[in-house]
Amino acid sequence: MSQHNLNVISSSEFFSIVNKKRINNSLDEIENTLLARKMGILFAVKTDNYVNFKGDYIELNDPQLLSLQDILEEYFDVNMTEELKAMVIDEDEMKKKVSEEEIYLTTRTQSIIGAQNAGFLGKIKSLFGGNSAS
Amino acid sequence: MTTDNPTNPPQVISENGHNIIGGLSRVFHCNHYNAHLQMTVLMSKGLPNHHPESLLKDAQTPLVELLKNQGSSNEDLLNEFSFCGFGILKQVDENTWETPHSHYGEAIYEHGKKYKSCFFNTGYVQGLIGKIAEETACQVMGDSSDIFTLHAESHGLANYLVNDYPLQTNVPERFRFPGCQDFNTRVDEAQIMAAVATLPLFGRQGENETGLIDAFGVVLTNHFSDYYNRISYETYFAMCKTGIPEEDSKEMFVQSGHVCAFNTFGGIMSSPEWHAVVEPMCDNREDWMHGMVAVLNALGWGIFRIEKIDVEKEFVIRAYNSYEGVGFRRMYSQTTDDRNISFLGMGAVLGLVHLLWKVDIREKPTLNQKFYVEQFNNPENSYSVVQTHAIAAGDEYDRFVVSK
Repeated sequence: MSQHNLNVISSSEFFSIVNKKRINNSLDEIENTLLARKMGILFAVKTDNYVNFKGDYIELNDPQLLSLQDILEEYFDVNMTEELKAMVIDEDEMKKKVSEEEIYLTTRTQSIIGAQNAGFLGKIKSLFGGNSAS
Repeated sequence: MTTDNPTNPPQVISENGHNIIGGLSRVFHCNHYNAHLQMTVLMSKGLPNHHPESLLKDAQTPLVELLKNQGSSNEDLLNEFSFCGFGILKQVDENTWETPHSHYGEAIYEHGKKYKSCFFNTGYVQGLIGKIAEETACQVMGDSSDIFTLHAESHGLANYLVNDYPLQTNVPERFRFPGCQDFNTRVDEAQIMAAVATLPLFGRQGENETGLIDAFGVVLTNHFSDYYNRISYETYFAMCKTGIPEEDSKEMFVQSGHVCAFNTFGGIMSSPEWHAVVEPMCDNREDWMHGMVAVLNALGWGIFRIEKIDVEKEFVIRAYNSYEGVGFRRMYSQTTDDRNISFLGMGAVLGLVHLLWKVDIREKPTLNQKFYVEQFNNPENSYSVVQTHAIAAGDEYDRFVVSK
């Protein structure tokens, strides 16, 4: 199994920038809930992996980050290559957040439970399986 | 809206909540619903053994063939295309057709990159001619006209309405069924429905005509209900089969109905016709709901009956002969165990409650995308909807419960 960096980005920041870019391009704003659901479905269809966009944080490995760029371009008409890179929360910052709020574990647990219900557990496990983040 | 009559209008039979042309049920829907539904279907591009672009095109073809089997000539079908608000469809040469004006080429939109979007028109041409057609130019892409090129091969598409499921004829009168709240209202449903029936909700052919229906601030179509059902359910089942969370898939379709309610119901309740005919009958917010349901009952969606309005707790609406439920039964031989299955109905009823109790349409807000995102669809103060009964599940009616 190949190992990839795990990139964590804030959902609210991500949605905010998607909509700012859309508005700057004279496109309609899309509400966050709809964006999250659309992204989840599109990710499953395009990458055969379910990613939860409904939590506080979005977890993506490197290839998934590239897929996200493609999906954003094709389905939302926004190019966010640079912004996505800048949005990734680095390891130290994330550890600090974890120790302060324990959000990370909660979000990951919710993500896996949601994926289990959807029949994607095996894929998620193979992706994150215990030592996925380097 | 102008009021002159169209030439050679098709015969529309209104019975049991359905508006029927050539034996097929038609439902009024706006460009926003058509846009969001098409976007939702196209999201499934890439699923195994599922081809949404073909589905959007081919779902229409057997319906046109059914009309031909019922006796419609090609001239009738071209008239009907315009009458129902799809635009102007005409032949250019032996292998080429075009829509210089079309609902799908001019009135719908997408959130992503632009694509040739007249799948419906293409399927209509296939049904007319019996051959495979392809859209080779589209107004969405900046072309001056939508162009459809015929291939040599026959399309070979079969009718998917495989079951005879008759409409229910003994639908209870308004407020007169067990479990219905004791309502006291001056809203006269029969008078409102009669008034709606006189509105010029049709497109026209001829010089300087577009075959489009501009009404209530939206662009309407008098669409094929079976087309909607086919593209919705086939996509939904394909998504479920692949393991996409049911909740997410459903929400996409329900959202299309919610958007529809905002734009079409909102547009109707802001229109001069509403203010002239319905509003004078209304003493309170509940009456606005009764009035809008009366209008709804003229749109071909089925017969909607308000069962309960408890502002503090819940709103309950039934739909007899709902076009989604009836269509499901005509398409699929087995009923479903899943009662949250009339997606348009769920979104529309939720949207109606939101229009009145979340944003209060009576205060005449400006209904635009910004208002939709920031107010109407803002999760704060939102209601939720569940469907407790479904014709698709073998029940007598659809029943929607909206609560905080």
